[in-house]
Amino acid sequence: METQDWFGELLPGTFDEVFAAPGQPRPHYRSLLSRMTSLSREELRARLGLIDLAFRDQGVTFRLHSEEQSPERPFPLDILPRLIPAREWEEVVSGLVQRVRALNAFLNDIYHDQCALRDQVVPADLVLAHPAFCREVAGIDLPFGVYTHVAGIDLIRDASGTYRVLEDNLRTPSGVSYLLANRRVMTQAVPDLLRGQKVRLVEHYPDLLLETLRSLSPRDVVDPTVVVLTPGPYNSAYFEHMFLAQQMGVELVEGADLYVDGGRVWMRSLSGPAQVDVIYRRIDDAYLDPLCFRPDSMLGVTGLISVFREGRVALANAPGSGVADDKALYAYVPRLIRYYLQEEPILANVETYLGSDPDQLEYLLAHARELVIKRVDQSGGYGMLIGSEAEPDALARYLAEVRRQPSCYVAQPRMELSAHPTYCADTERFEPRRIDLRPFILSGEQIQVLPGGLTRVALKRGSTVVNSSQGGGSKDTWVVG
Amino acid sequence: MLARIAENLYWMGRYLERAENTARILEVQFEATAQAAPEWPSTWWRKVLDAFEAPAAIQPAEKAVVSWLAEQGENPNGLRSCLYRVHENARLTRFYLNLEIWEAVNRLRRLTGIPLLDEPVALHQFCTQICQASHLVMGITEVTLPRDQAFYLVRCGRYLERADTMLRTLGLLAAVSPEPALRDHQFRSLLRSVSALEAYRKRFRKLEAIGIGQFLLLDSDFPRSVRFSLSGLHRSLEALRRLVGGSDAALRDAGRLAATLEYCDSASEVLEREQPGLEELLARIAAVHVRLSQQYFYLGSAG
Repeated sequence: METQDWFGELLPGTFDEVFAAPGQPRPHYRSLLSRMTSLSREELRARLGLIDLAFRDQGVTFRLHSEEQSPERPFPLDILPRLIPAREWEEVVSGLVQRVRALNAFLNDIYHDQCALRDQVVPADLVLAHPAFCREVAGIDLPFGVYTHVAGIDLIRDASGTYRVLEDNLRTPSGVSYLLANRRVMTQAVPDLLRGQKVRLVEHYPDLLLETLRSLSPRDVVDPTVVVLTPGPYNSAYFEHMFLAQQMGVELVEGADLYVDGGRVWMRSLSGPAQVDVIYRRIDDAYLDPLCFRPDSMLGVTGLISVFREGRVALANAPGSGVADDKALYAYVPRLIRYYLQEEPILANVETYLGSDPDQLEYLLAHARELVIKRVDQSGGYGMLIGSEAEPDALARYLAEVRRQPSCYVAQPRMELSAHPTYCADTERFEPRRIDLRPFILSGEQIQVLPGGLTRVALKRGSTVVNSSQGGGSKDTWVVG
Repeated sequence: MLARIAENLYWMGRYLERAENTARILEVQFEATAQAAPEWPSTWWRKVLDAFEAPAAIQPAEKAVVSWLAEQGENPNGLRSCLYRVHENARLTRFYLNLEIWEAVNRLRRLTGIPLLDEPVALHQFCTQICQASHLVMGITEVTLPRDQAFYLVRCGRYLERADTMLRTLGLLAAVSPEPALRDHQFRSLLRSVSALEAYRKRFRKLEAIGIGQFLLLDSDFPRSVRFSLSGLHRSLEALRRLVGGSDAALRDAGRLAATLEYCDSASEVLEREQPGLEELLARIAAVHVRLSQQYFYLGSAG
């Protein structure tokens, strides 16, 4: 079939990942596209059916926050993978490593000497008054000075194709299980596309994660006990908690399975109490320990934080990491990189206007139509307004809220996320859809980045919101060459 | 029961197990190579071919290996030939089986009609369906067959074949790359090709040759380890002798072999010092097979 029968028109003013110009694929996509377009329509449909079936068989699903009682949904995987040339990827990796090093240095600093606050690199208010700032962590020394052991840094590419950081996720970033499941499904459904592309492996992630977690163990034993702590089966990422625990060969526990006694954390196991050394916790800070945080938490472990403070259990990620992934603090990250590492940032930020700054607030209010405005305390596409798409009433109401609590808001110019041809069942063609990329970065003694990351796709025509909670899908991401 | 029928039951068990093991290995290796960079070296494929006793003329490259193991009917160890023989042996022994088993075996037989070489995704489905059909037959056997001679003959065949394949698969450890990324990928795919990756991770934290050897050779609880399979063979022969009577020659051979693994200090005795080595263990399994064939089937040749 001809290329134009397969691919829809490119989006104006947008970087297209595949095509440099209509009908002209970029060099690293050429062999993939020629293989893909040599499939017949029937064959393509058969492969799509295989992907769907494989996902159902593996039970890869997620659940929306708003629909607790609803069934879990499959997370749609597009058949056309996103390719990143190895050389381009190496550049991204050095940027990610640099950023995570600086963020960990920042966390280590604010929970010790607070040099960055004294030197006024970051306003003290933004840190000390932040709800995620965790006094309980202050003054304790963590292994390797690392707070965020598993980070997910969301990247986008602007209209010129430059990678930019959209946001840092330093608390309990999720999505890696979809990435691993995507690769499994692709090797089964399209082995012929994968073959010969020299795709970097991702399947060793559970080994890397376990190695990182074990390196945090406070007890010097041959086989420290690592557990994954989940809020339970109603959590939207429960599938992932289960998957990672199983792949690492460690127990998946809920708060009630653990207890504190004699200054140590124990797990209620069949054969009696077992001492727990490292907790990979996938529950929020606020629920970790009812003695320190929310007293009504049923999910946490009473007394956990005091054991953590005494250095008898490791928590990954450390409580209080969230202060560094705040949407307002984000604007200061380039300065933090210069301050702690004496390096220029390798990965650019997206320009950000802070509601807390009177001049920037004025700009924000005057140019709301051109901006995307976000509440600093919400994520996942919630609490956000796209100025150009909002109804006048809604915009006015939203801006009134901004005026009432300006420091709760930040704004960014609307970014034209890069687009990638994505299969659309209604037209039976590959139409451009907006994508982003969430790479996963593991920090222990060293920093390791899993090749590629989770490419999320805004499946709705014209949409720029890629979150799974807002109707997004994903693509397998191949670092090639 | 006729000695000839007894032999068919034993071989049905062996071919069913062989088909499942081969399908698993082939599928996992094929999947793993699709994303291996650099490509799986020919030394690895040579070891895979050796494990299946392929003639030296077969190229140690992926396409030739797939063709030899999955496509070619003349390869006595190939999947198509295994499926055919499972069916033939089941047909002759239907009286001792039941309708449900027979239906499951027929479903298995129908899989041989699928063309593979020009269909990149068909191999995965082919292999998965073989494994599933094998599990189905085993499950029906387990929950419906009386514990009589037929049951234990099929079981002897399965355990003996399983121990044999596992020893051959362990030969692949010697071909693992010294380059760390590829080595770990090979370790993982080796474990997956005997359905052991998840179980291994729960027991050993690190991927390393000695741990893998220890687990696949000597683990007392993992149902595909050589030790577990040989002790299963020993127990099945014991049950068979209780039902049939006669000489205990095969039983004693199998018992000695099972004890060798049970009281082995560590996997390095087998994998490094070769006391006994993999080859010797394979020869002793072959000897048990000869002994039980002499005893129960009068050295028949229906296989």
